[in-house]
Amino acid sequence: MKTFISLFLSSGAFAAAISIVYWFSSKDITGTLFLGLMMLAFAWVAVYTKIAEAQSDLAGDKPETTHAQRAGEDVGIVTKASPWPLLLALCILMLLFGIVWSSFVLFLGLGGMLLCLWRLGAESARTGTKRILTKEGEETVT
Amino acid sequence: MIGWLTSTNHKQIGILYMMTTLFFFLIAGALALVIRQQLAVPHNGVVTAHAYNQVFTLHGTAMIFLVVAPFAFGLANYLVPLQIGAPDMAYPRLNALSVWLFILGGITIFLGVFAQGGAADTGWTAYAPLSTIIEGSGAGEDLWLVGVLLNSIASIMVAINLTATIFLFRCPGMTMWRMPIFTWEMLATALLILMAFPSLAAVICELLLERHYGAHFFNPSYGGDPILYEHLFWFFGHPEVYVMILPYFGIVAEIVAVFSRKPLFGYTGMVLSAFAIAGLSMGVWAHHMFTTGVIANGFFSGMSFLIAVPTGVKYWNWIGTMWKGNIAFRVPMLFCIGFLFNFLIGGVTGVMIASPPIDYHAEDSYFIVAHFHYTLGGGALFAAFAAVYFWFPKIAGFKLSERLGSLHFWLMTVGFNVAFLPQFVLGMEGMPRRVYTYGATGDLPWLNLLSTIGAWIMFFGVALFALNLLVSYFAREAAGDDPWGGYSLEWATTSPPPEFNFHALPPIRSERPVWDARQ
Repeated sequence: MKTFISLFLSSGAFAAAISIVYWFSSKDITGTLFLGLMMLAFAWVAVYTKIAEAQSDLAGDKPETTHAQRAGEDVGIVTKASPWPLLLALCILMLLFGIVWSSFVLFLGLGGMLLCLWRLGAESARTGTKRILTKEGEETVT
Repeated sequence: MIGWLTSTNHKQIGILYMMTTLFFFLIAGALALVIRQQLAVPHNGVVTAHAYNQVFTLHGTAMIFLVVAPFAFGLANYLVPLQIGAPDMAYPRLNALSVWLFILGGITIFLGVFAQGGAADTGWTAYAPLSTIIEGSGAGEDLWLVGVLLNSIASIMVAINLTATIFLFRCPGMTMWRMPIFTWEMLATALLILMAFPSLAAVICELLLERHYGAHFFNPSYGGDPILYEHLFWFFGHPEVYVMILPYFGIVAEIVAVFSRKPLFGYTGMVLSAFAIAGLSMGVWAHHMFTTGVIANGFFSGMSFLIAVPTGVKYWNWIGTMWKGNIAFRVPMLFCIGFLFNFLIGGVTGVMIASPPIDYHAEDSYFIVAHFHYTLGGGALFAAFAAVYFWFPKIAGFKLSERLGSLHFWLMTVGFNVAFLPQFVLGMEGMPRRVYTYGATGDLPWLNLLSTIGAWIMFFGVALFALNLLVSYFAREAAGDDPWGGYSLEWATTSPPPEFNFHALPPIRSERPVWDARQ
């Protein structure tokens, strides 16, 4: 997490520096706004991560641990197949076609999109959508 | 079939990405041959001027939005979880959504061919006001805009997913400073996408609003400004160049180290230079606009020159890695060496046109065409082929033929240089880009013919690659888990890997855990 935070902080500082230099060398508001927004985006992520750091316990941040030392650790949690991403993509396409050519298609796409998002949300929330694979190789549907 | 349509597994999604990019690459390559055939001799009539505009628009769009960058996304989808010891990407359903948006976006762009008035014909940059005039470009342009918008959304989703996966899903012991260099380069790429692509999505939405809802963002008659379009487009467009090259820097670093039988020289420098390039690339967008006369040329020129420094650090590292190494000239390594030569030419000519006085002369000429083909064709494309030869055994479980692969490399190298070196001279002699014909003056006829011959040599190289895939598929020489003596975690699992990637992981104490385990 420390590397993550310093990465975003230094990127934000760089964006701040070049936006100042850019403003004084060009007096161009468009470009300065781009660079300023970029600085804000980096800073926002850095601050968020700094706050989240207190609650984090990332395996990858522990240099001396190994998989074997993490007794009971799952080898992997795998999400089950789902038709909703493909259907959602088709609905987004319909929505965009609708924006260009037809209000009917637009609302059809929007409705379909909301339905897909609802189903995706439900799928993420309920059990039975993930398979846990343990070190012993057993596969459990949760 | 249903399994592929509904898959949320990162490896299947990665393969879907890569197969789709191969499909679009073949189409874009065929379009390139049409371009070169049209320009082979003066006053040629292979295609009409209108058709030619569509052909170069679709060629550029496909190579940039549907081939070079997405191939890296596909490879990253497949490799990054393996390289950091994760079972999958952080958001598997988002991952599936991104690949389908990408595929639908690509199909939508090409659907324009069947539209009345044909496909988009405004170049891959779709400059306003050319692209806002409905009468001049009809449904094909709208399909192009919708397709590119879908593509930009998909790219942002990939970037979010990669960033979250790299930060949150590293296995025990895999600290960030032990990540393989390809994963680092993908992280830098993901951050670039997150900063740059929203600008593309915004400008495409503005074009759609201007075309269909009476907005006037870029129309000076109503207080709009066409230069605003260029700012918004290039704020995405130049970082996009680095989105298309940073992953390939990582690929070359991985392959050069393995085939030099040495650890990567200057790992930290390699990582820091990736972020330096990414950061600087966000501040150079208007070097594409020197000739507009309304931007701070000094600022953008200086920032563009600066990018040469971290890029030079990378060359230093690649050469340092090879220095006194026990180099094995296998096909992936050959393509990497080809990359080093070609990208050097592309990079040095890039430094030249970062200087406004030279750019004023070279702008919109074939010199620019040659320059960016040396960076993205001779650079990224060669590295992409290196990646295919290197990781194919891991993905498919069998190797590609070395003999056909070597022949493929040499045909590509000769063909590429015969096709694009003459274009520098064409540009300096004043041949503008995007023209569908030219007069029989000076050196233009024979240089163009030479360039066309080079393109056909490349075609035979790509045909050999296709043949290699077929021949190797039927021969099926088992690759084993670690056919090259690799360094990173993907070589610690079976070929192809199981659904959950690893049965067991070696202890991770450096950026090359599989090398460590062998010692």
